[in-house]
Amino acid sequence: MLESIMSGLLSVCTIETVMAISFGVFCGLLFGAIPGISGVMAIALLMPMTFYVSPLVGIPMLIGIYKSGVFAGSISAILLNTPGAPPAVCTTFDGYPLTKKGKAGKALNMALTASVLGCTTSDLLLIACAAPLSVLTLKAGPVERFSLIIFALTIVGSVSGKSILKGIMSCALGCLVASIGISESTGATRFTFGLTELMGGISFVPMLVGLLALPEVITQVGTKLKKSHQTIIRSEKPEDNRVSFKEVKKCGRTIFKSSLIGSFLGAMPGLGATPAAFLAYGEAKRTSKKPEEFGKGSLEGIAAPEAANNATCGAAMIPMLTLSIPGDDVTAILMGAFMIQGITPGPTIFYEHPVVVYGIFGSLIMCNILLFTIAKAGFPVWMKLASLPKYHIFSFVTVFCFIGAYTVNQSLFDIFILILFGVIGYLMKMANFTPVAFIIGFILAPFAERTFDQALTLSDGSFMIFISHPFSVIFFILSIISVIGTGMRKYKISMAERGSVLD
Amino acid sequence: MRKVDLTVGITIAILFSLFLMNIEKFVYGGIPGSISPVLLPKLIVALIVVLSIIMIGTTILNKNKKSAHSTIIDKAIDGDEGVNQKLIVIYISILLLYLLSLYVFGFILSTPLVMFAIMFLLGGRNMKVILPLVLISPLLFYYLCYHFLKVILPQGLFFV
Repeated sequence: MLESIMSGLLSVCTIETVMAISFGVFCGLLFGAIPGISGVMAIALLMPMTFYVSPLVGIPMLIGIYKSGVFAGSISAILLNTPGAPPAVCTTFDGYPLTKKGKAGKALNMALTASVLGCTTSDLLLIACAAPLSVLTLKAGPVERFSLIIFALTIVGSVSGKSILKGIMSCALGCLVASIGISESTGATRFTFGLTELMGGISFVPMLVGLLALPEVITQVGTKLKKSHQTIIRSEKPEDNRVSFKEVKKCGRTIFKSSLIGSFLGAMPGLGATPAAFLAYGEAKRTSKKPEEFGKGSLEGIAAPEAANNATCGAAMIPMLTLSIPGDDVTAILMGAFMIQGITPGPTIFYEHPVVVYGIFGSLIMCNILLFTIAKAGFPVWMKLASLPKYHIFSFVTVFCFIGAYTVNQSLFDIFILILFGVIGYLMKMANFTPVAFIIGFILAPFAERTFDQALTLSDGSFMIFISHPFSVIFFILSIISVIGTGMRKYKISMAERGSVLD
Repeated sequence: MRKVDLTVGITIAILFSLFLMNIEKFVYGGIPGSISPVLLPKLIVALIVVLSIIMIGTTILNKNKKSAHSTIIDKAIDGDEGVNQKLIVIYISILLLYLLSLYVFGFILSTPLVMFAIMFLLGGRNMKVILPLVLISPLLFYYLCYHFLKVILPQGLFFV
């Protein structure tokens, strides 16, 4: 076992892995820095590339995109007052005022430092927690596993969107779409409508790219473009374009606290980076010695959301690696990438593929080092990228979507699936349904059905088995509590907001 | 009350109720046993119908207002610009035509036209930059896919 751990950790030092992570970090920065397209889109587009390489090359590359994409959202937030992604919204509050003062370099450096420190804290937490937690979950049988998946789906459905109903409906729709094709346990053909292309089910990658990447492009195409000719003022003083150790140390407490907030929320399925950034920003402001500086260019105001949103990256992998439950869109894609490589993420991964899992742990740390180096070295480039014309970007993204969808099975039917889900994803976005919940439902449905069928076979078709296991009952009760609890919380918030609007 | 929610709720409720009533017709083959292949899908569809009915009910009863938190995020990401539906329809039509032309003319001939159309649609008018980009990049993508991914992109009906 120790030998496997060591060889896993050492595997990240190979040239292929370092090159793959560097490429991933570069792509994440490229996509994340441009407003309107995100790191998630980059992961979806580049996922097909991982089929052709070993898991210790492909998956670290995706992790590199993930981490750098989250950080890169802050580049346009700081420079253009336009967050590259929702988690970077809070960074605009203090980042842009600093840019207006000519201190864009300082703001970017603080964002990068906080991001890397947040990432590292979260990675260490993942490394420390994942294996012990997996030992506990290994003891779960099909009944407990099914109830756990239902619990995860209700959490994802109830917290990932603006409406609980729509979130859970999105999850259910994802589960239903996943049932298209041949049933695993009975061999029956379901919902193919006579199309032989659907016998194997809906292809994951075209559906994923269609749901995550194309709706973004469609939205941007439909948005009336305004020409922006913003010039970024840069101070000539070198101290305005870097952060000193003293300044980082001053923000140390905020960074640490925000990293813990981010790690905690990141480990919760469905929550993700945006609430973490908002919560950390609020907490930093509440406990700051100079709260009046927040919103006017406070370094703490940049460090808090950046540390928190990046700290969700490593922690989001905890439920995936220990419970087979992807907590957000990126971990859903990562889970898909694992499964395509023949590896099922979950508690058994630590025993079946220790080299891979510890290699991935090593690559998380390597990603942080490379993110810091590449992002710092390329600040002038990212600044230019943030203001690239949209017509170049979106025509390339469209072609990448088509190539990505086609390369998986080399079938034009997959391109049809891509367009179909692109339109569905856009309509879902318009009607406030959550594509993320849909994808997680799609990924978890086969596991849910397998455990459901196993449990019913054990009980000769009696549903009583689900209420005869204590852990299963606990998870079902928790599912109900989570839906009711979230519903009440959302209702209270909306009532309070309505009250404040009326006042 | 959001009109969209009501429309979506009613549409889903009707469509999925019909689907639930006829679900057995869409399943064939398989080994007969204690577990039905439509059991879980049936439960899922029933859940969707119930949720859509609740959605219709809550939409009628509630005059929902957008939360302040989500409005901040939406405004920050999307800005305040309106949505041009015409551009969206044109873009989706381009995608469908691209699929058709990939089948007929192949990747190398179709892609430059599609890239040019999208760039033009989005307001790109600098031909000195656009033309070399749309002509060279498809060749580059084709070469990279062929040599690195070992994938031959669609060649079209006339070039196979």
